[in-house]
Amino acid sequence: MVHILQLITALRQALPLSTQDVSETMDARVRFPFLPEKDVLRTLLIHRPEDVPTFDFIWDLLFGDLQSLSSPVTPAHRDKRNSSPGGLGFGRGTGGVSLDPGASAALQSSLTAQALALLEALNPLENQEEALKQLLGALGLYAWLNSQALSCQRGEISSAAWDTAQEEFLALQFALSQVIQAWQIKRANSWDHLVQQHWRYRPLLNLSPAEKRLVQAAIRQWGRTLAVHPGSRFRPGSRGTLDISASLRQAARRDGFIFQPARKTRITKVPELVVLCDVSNSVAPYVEFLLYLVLKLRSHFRRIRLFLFIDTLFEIQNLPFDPDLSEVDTIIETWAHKGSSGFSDYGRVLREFADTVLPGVSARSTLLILGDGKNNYRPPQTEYLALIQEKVRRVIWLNPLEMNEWYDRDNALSQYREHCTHVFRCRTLHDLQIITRKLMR
Amino acid sequence: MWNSPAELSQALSQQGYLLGSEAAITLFLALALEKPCLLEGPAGVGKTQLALSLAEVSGRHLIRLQCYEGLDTTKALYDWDYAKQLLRLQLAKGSGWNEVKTDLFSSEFLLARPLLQALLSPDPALLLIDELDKSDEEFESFLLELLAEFQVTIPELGTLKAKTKPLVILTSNNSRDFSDALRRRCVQLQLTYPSLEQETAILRQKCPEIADRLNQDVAEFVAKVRKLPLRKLPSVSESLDFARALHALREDSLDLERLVGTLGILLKYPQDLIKLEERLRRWQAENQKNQGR
Repeated sequence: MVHILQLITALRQALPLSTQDVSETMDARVRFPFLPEKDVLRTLLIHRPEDVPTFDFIWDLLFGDLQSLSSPVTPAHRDKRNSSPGGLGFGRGTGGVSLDPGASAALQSSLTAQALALLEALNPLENQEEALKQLLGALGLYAWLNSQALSCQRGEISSAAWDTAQEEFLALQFALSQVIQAWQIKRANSWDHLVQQHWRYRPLLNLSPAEKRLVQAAIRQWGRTLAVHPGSRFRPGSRGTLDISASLRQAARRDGFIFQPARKTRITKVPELVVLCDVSNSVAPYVEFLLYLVLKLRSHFRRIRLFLFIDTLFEIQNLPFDPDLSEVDTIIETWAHKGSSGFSDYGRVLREFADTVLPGVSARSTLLILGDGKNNYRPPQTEYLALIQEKVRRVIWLNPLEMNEWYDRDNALSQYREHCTHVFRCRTLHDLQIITRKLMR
Repeated sequence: MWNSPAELSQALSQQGYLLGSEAAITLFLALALEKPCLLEGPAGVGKTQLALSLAEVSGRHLIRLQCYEGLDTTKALYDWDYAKQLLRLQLAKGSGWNEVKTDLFSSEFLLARPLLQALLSPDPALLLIDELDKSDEEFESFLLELLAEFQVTIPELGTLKAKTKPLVILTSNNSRDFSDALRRRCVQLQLTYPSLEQETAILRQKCPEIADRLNQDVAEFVAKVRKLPLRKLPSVSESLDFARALHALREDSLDLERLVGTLGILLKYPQDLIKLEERLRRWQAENQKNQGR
């Protein structure tokens, strides 16, 4: 049982585990000794599917040795790895390891050994993403993927083989990231890296496609929470709570006889939202998530107006974009090349907004600004933001930079801050969660 | 009820539901520990079907609560029969207030909705709370007492405990996340799309009239389609419909050249159809090239 407690201690660094969870797990181990221990523990300790990789990682780290981390992958990845992308080898030169299914274990083992040797040289105690890129490059995996892409373009391999190659690449990337993480944890002798690499706390910039989907699911829910506020007014209806005063009024008209109880439902507030979104290069990766949030808010707000800016304003009419936002990406690219210098100018944009857009904005609307505040040493023209703040209900600024960077010399946020109702750091999913909670108060 | 996951899996298999070994362990633990089981996964992977099959094999009668936005306790748990109460009031003009006020909130005027029906049921029941993610967060919080203690509190009547603990199955399509409190009370089981072998077995079991070759081809084709970046991947029910559609067209095997008009059965969004048709042309070209070699 000591090893279970060891596992629980490690899991608690990243996941919330209650005493009841622990007690049920111990109970189950005693009652069902014939069941695989790992499956029982995972079932009873893990309550979210997205936390399963964390469990698997810690299990492998504690009860395997570092060498066995060659296969710390989820069952989904394991299934995908059973097929070969076409027999080409990995590694530099011609001595790469074959990706034949039968050689998979040898490949994993070989890659892990090479990765560990490289990690000793790189010594990446902090930046896991950078270390991963370096490893992928040094092991020749980028070159291999490019060769596969080229072969597919030339028609030398089928599109199915190219799809499989990409899956293989992702699986190996995942496996290597876990090797790095394990190395960092062992080297630092601390579980801090585990928490930092949890998808909830990682910068939105560095998420994998699967993690992006998780973030989008979370955002979808908060979007609804943010948008729907129960109002103070009611409307009569056939459902809802019993309206006693209306029922009594009806009864008074009928000599005290009540034929039909009256009911009422609360009318939700449907406010207006205006979004100003900086799409310059420094903020671009975060824009994706804000736009996704806006997309999810669309059905809950009476009206949403979305403006993109770098040094001029550009309104996206009718929010035409699809769920994967590919359409909006194209719009941003086209507009950014044509109508912008590429350097943010917040002062100019706010002036333009105050002059042209503000007269048509409702006094009950919320202005949401996503930007890092980097003004490239141009005049901030804070008077325009002050003017905007007077007109709208609230101004919320979401900044993807770390707080200490808000006060850099080229950053005008410190001057804009006094004219905002709220300024939040919006860098990770956890930040988004905090923002939603605070705005709901 | 069952002594091992293998027994449970076999019982479900006899009912026509094929459950993987890991999923069988999870479900077995949920049943053995008498905990609600939260089934999650994309639409059409068989979450509701699992609950229905489980009700069949366990001999419990199924009580189903379909969740939707705005669902509240009056629709899910109980309501007072206001019309009946009013009638009682009209008839009791001569009686005293004390007699009427207690009488009005007795079980005679109580309308039991699915959750209460499951708790008060004298026979063993399986309570299916379907698509819980569609309901509001308030309703989710309300469920906590029921899921943890198998009891509910009605202000006028007090706390009602389950006569026979029902099996509780909750399903979700992940359109929103649940609170830690709800998740802690459940055993979570993630159902995903089946593997190629599982899907072939499902097709053989559900469509015995279809040639083996066609079933195998459909399973392989659907597996390939699921690798494409689509908005909605084809589910098991859609691959069953697809196989039946090809069978209705008198096809014995799947020919990429003769799929026109049938892809709409597999995919539901126009953009997905465009993507698949584009990919289909590539697959056809590759096939022709391979045949030419």
